[in-house]
Amino acid sequence: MLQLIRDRAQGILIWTIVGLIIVTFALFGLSSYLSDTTQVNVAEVNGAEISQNEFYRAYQNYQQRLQQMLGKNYSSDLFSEERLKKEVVNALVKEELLNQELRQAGYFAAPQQVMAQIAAMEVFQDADGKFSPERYKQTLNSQRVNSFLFEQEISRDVAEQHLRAGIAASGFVTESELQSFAKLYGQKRKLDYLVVPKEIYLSQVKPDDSDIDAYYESHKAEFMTPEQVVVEYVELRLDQMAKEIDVSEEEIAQYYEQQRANYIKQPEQRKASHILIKVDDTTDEASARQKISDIQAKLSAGSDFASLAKEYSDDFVSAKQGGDLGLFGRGVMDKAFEDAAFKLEKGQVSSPVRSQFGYHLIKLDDIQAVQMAKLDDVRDTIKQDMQMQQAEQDYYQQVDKLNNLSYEIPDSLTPVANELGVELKTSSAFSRKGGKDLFANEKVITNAFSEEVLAQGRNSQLIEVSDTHVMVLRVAEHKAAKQLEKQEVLSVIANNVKTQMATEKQEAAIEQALTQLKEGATLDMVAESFGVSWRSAGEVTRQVAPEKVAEISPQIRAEVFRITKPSGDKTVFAKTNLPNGSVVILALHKVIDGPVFEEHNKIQQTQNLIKVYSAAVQESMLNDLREQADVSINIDSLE
Amino acid sequence: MDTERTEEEQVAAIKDWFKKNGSAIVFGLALGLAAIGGYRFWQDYTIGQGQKASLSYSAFQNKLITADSARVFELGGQIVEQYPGTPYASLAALGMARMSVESNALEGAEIHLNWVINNSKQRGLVHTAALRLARVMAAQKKFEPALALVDSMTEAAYASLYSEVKGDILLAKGQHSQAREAYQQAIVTISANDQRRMVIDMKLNDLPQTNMN
Repeated sequence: MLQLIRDRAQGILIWTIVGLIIVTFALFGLSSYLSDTTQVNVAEVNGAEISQNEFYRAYQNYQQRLQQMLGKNYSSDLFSEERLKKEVVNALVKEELLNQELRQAGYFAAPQQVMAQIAAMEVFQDADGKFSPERYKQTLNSQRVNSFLFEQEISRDVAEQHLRAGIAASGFVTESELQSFAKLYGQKRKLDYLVVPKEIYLSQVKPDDSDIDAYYESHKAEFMTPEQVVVEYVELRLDQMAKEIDVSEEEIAQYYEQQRANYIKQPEQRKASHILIKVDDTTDEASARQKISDIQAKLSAGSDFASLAKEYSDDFVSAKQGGDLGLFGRGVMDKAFEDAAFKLEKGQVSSPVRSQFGYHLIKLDDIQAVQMAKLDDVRDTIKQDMQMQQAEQDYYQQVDKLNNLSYEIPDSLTPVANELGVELKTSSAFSRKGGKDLFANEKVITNAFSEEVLAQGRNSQLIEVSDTHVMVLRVAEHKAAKQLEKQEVLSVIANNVKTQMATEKQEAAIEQALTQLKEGATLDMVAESFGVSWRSAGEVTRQVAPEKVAEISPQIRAEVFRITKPSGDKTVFAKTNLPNGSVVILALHKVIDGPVFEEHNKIQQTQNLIKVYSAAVQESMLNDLREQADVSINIDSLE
Repeated sequence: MDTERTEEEQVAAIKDWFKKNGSAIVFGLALGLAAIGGYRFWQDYTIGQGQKASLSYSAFQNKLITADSARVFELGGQIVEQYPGTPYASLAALGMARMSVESNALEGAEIHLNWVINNSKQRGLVHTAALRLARVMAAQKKFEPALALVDSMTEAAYASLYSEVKGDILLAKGQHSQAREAYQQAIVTISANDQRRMVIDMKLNDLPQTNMN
């Protein structure tokens, strides 16, 4: 009995295991067994992994795009690497989340849709704007893109478009919403305003010595010379090393001979005549071969090539000229024809040659030898090329030495300068904002003020100024930030104190005026107290025609719409500070609702609102996915 | 012990084992293959349905863009009926809701939006529909159910959108200070140069001053 149970149990166990193994293979495929499991992942999104490889590919792409956007201004030190990496990881996570959502929700691209999408891409179209399968293959091949993966990518894009366009295309604005929006959009606000310039108060204040002392004491930190450094440095430049290399006349001549292929002005050309017996749908191979042999026999018997060509050649154009084809170089004629023509000696006639057109007899009439560029014309280029080539090896050796020695002897650059036989140069003083020329370079500044170089007094690392220019520097002199004496900055302080005092007076006066206005003072009373008059801005609109922009300052225009709307007919007051030091008192009398949109405008406004709100929904959707997801980011796995 | 057995005995043991378990292995293999077949079939079927739905939806969307009302309802109805489990059914229902709003059939729009809320498996589409439903209800002055719907949604990612709709409803009801509060909540998480921020700012700055003195 027990034995029976054991047997049964074993049986059940075995077939369950076999069954399970097969199912797992079917679900996950072999690849998951073969993939490298020791790989470190950058992030995990609901169990799906983002590998370091994926990350680095995306990171490189991102950097390239930044480079393209910024052009010359780009420097790898420009952005914090840490932040860039985080951004890239987040973008990858977002993409993965969206992919999972699209799969889970059941978005699919039908093959027709994928095809249509690809066919619509300009790169794959021929001159007539039609999709060309050859171009598609060629383009993918040249970019080394696998077409299956590419189509999968497109298929994903199409699915994403279904979701995004599905939300946007179904958006709407109700009639009441559009009316409310029109009221706001076209709103007008009736405004008077009073500009109170700072100048009024500047003439009223006279700072005395104690004011100045107090200001200096409380703003001491602002009156410092910047921290500066003077650096010693050794630099290597390939172009300069090249200039110092002597190249003799013989060497140049020798180089010219060796590299002849690079100095060809006009390659060899040959002039030939031919007789063609064509092979095509109407004539067969054998009879053509027979025909050409017959002509060859006539030629051996002493007949003239030109007259035979006139009589027998199927190339009618050349036949009229006795078979003459004129001059041609390599790469023009049929390959078999060319090979034969370039083997012949002058005056010689070939045996029958089979080309794609048929059988030829070729007579070589003339050889125009290769024409070389004159040595005198290319001497300078050759010299420079040779100098660069010879200097290059030296340069990299020197760079290596510089790198090693400056690291091994970290507290001086003299030994390495001596060893390399180059000058130890000294810069003029510069601050963290940089100096002139070489010292305006961001990398150079960063290194000069780095902890290692500035505080520990070591040589910097090797700084690559460009591909052909490197340097190592050390701080020769560190000029700490220095407190400026009061006398040195007296005029600046006096000015600042005056402005400060005037501003205080101005603000106090404005506050007082606002209180008075709220308590019922008339506009005129207030204007009189300042000695300036109110200006009417009339009915101010949010949107403004270009020719009217100058009428009131944009800041006042923006500010008037920020004022809380008055209830009823009561005027409300506010103030705003202009950048030029003036303070403006705003008197908002009335808010007038905008008119209903005209028909054409209605459509445009509706579409615009739909666009804004469907974008907002989509953004919320992505944020929600992120909040719901189980995401772990392992940013430390990236060096 | 195994080590003491002769080769013949071992062969016999293997044969014996296979006699006992052979049928179990064959059965296991058959079960495994059947499972693969079933899974593959189901997968193919899902993909096939998905692709068909996706093609139908493309045709539907073209009609939606040209606002061909009759065809929108015809094609949309077919998609909802034939492929209810796909996201395309929900997208079609959202599209029909838009068409209803444009033909001023607001109650019809409510039906389509409710269908999405009750049937969509995708949170994003459920929220899209709920936001729109609250607006459609508000347009019919059904303020209380609209507010109840908005208040029942608590997902943080959509909070700003719901708060704005809530502000609009309260404003329409004339409850200015509560509307202000809702709008202020709506802008907390939006950056200053977002276009939606500008719209909400316009609404905020249009609220009349509440009596402070």
